[in-house]
Amino acid sequence: MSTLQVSNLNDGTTTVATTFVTAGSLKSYIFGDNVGNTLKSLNVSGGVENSAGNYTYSFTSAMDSVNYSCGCAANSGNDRSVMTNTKTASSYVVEVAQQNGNAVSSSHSSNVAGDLA
Amino acid sequence: MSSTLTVTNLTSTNLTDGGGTTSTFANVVKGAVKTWICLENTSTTAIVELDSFNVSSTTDVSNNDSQIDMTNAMSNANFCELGTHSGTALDRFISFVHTSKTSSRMFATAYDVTSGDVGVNRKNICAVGDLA
Repeated sequence: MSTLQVSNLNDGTTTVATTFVTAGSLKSYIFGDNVGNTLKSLNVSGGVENSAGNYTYSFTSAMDSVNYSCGCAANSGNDRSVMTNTKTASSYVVEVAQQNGNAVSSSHSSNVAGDLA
Repeated sequence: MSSTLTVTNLTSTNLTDGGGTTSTFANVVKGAVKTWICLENTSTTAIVELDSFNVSSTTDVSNNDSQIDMTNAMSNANFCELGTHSGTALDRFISFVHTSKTSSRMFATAYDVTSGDVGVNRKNICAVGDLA
């Protein structure tokens, strides 16, 4: 196995320190349907809908701690809020609700930035 | 046999991983998250920074409006913010306040649909765009 260590990357126009790529690239993402199937994903071993609007996604390669940044959004309905919950180094929960706080099954997206273990 | 090649500046058009998947360098350079943070607003006067990248400091401005300052600034104030809260209430969302946003500073506020600002919340925030 060979390793190429690079300080800066340039695409022909813009230069960025490689640190921003290694530390800043998303370590996982999903585009999930309303029952927890991942239609598109990176570093996800599986998804499941635990109850209405409550989804767990597990990482193939774990994060270094629970303190990663995990963002998400609902992809259907114009009155929905989304939150992440119950984070561990190997999985996290996405919860989708209507504005009245009632959980609802809904297509959604999420992304994870942080450090791998 | 393993080997390591150390390079200071690498200019390329495409980047291919060990599995054969190719991405343009422009997507890698521009698409990487330039700042991320996981924080907790535990009161109106303190923020607990749980983990972060490219963050120099955080400030609780007022009533859960979290100010996040970057170590390395973006090229301008028109970068993209992403955010979600983690908590126990399902009717909350993150709002980004742009009145005082600069190339190196952003603000994220957690709102409850029924009660407005909320003072206790965990926030996951990212910034995507070009560095200065």
